Amino acid sequence: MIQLQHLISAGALFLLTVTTACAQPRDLPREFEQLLPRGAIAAIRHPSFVSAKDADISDKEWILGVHIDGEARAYSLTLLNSHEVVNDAVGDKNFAAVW
Amino acid sequence: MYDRDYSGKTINFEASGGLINSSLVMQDDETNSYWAIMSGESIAGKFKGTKLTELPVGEKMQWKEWVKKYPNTQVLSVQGKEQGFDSYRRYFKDSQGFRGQSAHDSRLKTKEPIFAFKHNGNAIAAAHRKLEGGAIFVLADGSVFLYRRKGADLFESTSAFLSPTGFEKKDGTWVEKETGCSFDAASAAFAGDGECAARIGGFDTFWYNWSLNNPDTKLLK
Repeated sequence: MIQLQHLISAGALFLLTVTTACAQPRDLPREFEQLLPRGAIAAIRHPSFVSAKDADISDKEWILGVHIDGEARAYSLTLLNSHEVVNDAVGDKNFAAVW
Repeated sequence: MYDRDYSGKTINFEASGGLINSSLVMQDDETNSYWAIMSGESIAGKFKGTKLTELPVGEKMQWKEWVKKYPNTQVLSVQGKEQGFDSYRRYFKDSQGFRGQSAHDSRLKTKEPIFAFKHNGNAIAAAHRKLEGGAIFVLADGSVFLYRRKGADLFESTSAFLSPTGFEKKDGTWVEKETGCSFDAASAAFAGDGECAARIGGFDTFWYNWSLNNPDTKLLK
C-alpha cells in the first residue's frame, strides 16, 4: 500500500526527476521511476517509543504491530506513511517495518 | 516486515524516492542496492537478484484492538507524536491506481483488495472478499488457510497459514488435519497440542499493485 503520492503532490516533480536521474545505476530496470530524490522521505533509523499509557493515539488509528520474544511494538500507519521505513530491532532480531 | 540481517551484516533501509510498477523501492545504506518492497528482491546494485527474508510477525489492526491484546506494548513516537496525518485517504477511496494505473489484467478490478504471497517461487493471490470467515486453498505440496474477519476493514491483516497435510472444517471450527490444532478467530492463530500450522507472510494490497509486479499470479477462486 505504498505509493508515495502524498509527496508527489508537493510539486517540482520534473525538476527532481532531472536532478536525480544522472545518479542512477545502469542496471535499474526500465520500469523503475525516480520521483523524488533519495532521502526526501526520511526513514527512521533510531526509533523512539513511549508506553501505551503515555501514547497520544486514537482508538481507531490503524497500526502495524509486531510481537517478538514477548515484546510488542506498534507503529501508526499514518506515521509510517510519512517515513516509509522504520529500521528497528527487538533483542537480536533486526527488522525493517514497512507496509 | 523484512529481516535486516543480511549476508552477515545488519543493513539499514530508506525510501529510494522511486517506484517500480507503483510500488515502493528502498535502498540500503551499506551498498546502495535497490530493493522492491513488493517482492523483497534487489533490483539493482551489489545485491541485485537476491532476496530479503520476509518475517511473518507483523499484523495490522486498530489501536484499541492492539492495546487490548498487548497492554504493555510500546508505541513508536516521532518528534513527540504517536500518529500522523492521513494523507492517503483520497487514494484509498479512488477506483484508479496511482497516477491512473490499471491492473495487469482484468481478472479482478484494479483496486480490488487482495491478499497475495509467494510459495515455491509462484505468486498466488486471493480477493479479500473470498476470505471472510476463512477459506482453504489446496496447493501442489500442501494447503493454505486464509482468514479475514467478516466485515473486516481494508487495512486489517489477513491471517495466513501453511500446512503440508491441509485443513478442514469440523463442527464449525477450522482444524489442521495432521495436528488437530484448531483455529481461534479472536487471536487469529491455531492452537493445540504439538506444532500447529505455521503462519506465512504476504501482502494485503490492491490487485493492480500486485499484478503489475507479478503478472503470472495464480488467482485462488
